[in-house]
Amino acid sequence: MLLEKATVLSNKQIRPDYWQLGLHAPQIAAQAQPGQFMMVTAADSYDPFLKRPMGINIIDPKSGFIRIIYLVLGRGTKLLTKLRENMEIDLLGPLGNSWKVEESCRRALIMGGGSGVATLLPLARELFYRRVKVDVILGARSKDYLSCADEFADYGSVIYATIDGSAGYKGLATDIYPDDIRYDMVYACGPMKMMEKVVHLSRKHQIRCQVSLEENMGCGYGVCMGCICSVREPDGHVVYKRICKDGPVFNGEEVFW
Amino acid sequence: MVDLRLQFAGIQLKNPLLTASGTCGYGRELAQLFDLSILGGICVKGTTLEPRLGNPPPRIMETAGGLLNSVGLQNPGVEKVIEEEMPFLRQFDTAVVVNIAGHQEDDYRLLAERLDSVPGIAALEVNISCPNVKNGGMAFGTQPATAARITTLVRQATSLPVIVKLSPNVTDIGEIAKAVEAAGADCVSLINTLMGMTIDIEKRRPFLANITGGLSGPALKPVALRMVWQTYRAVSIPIIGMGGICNAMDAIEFMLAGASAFQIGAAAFHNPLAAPDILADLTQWLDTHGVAKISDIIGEAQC
Repeated sequence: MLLEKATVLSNKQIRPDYWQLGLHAPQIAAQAQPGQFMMVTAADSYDPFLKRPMGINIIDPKSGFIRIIYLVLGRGTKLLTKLRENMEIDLLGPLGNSWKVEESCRRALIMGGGSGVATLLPLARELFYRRVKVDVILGARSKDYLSCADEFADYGSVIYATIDGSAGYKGLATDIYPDDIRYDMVYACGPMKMMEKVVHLSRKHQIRCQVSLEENMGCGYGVCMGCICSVREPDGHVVYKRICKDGPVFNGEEVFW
Repeated sequence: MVDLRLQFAGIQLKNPLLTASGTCGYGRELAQLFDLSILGGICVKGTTLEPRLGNPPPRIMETAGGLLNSVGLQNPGVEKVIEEEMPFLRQFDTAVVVNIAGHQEDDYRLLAERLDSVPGIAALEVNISCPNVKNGGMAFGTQPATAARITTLVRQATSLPVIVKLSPNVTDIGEIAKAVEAAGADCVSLINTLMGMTIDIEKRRPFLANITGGLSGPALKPVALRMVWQTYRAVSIPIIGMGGICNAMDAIEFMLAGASAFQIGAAAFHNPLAAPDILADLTQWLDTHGVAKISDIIGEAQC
């Protein structure tokens, strides 16, 4: 974890509500692992007061390039859209744990929905380079909202589900969970309801899965205890864990939905 | 260069900046960003007798110029703090203040007794002002008689300096401060968070699962400063001021209003390096203004 002043390389709208921010942040790029995130703010005043957690979409340690894709939701993210090339921005990162890729993993399923898709791209790349066969299912409202579909295709086979049927299957990503493939691991990031369903389906097929959770954050680095989720300990006790520090990636089975 | 050292209420500080309870955990995360030994002190997360799960999520919501939280004193309990956190904290040359919180009055006595002989503790901060717990917490800090009773229990159970952390959710903070002073408090710290609320208008439901939460951040600062000034006029024991301090100018205001030292809290969410940044700017301001000793500015606002 470190604070870095990054330079904005590009900042553009890529889809309705979604923007893509390219940054030169060599120190964070050198350390970040797939699944980790950063705390980002474009405000140079005390209002909005908090930084925003942002998943990392591309990490290139060689060139120091970092890319994030963000959904414009409120004042904090609206301010991010004002960033222009060569402006500077404070980053805190890399934060949290990362996706776990086991040596024995030969075939993996990635399931992404909504804004959660972005953080799965570095994972797909990692799996690809570790010679894991990757299937990707991406879910979105409509064709316009499908994130990074072409880029995922570089690392594995990609299928889509859209609510309105404008691309791929008409329905939810979880509707097309492949019943007949024996994956070594399922990775999911998206709306809570989707991830809960993925955990349920994986359990049914006796496949382990990892999920990346999202929550409002105060600090992003583990001091405020604001962003917690319920986790079942091995002894059956339910405890609260910090999504920012103990997560954001959890074993699907331990999350108490 | 200005002398930042302070000595009051049996506490020695290398400078007036402490990190506030509940905003710095037990120091482990901040230690990755800077050397904790630069701090005047660190007030650890509110510690209870037994481990505490805290309140259900969502617990955090940003508001104009600050945030509401309803964490509810999630902590591993005093035994784990002594076993696992104190050895870590003892590595640093800084005053470690353990913040203690109870569900019932006797908890405070038991906590103070248990911590009395633990090495490396500079003082106890008695939390009678947490707005996010149903039993105890703020309920103890809004009545002068109960506030005084708890202060007496702690005072009798420990030889450590006793700082009582006061709630702003009262009509007259001076009255509470006087009561704890008379009961043997060595120092008061104020303010804890101001109780607030925020509603999701689409869902027609409060954003926080706990419904209400404590407001912190710069939005709180004028209220906190006013209460420090009121308390300074009401009691003769030293005051540690806090509430929305985000930069050195804020900190100087608190000291001019009567605080002998100050704590920074939510500022570390906005800027994780708030502590080193404020210390550097504070030193520069005092030097530029020809202040020889930091203690020279305490209570110097001409009102």
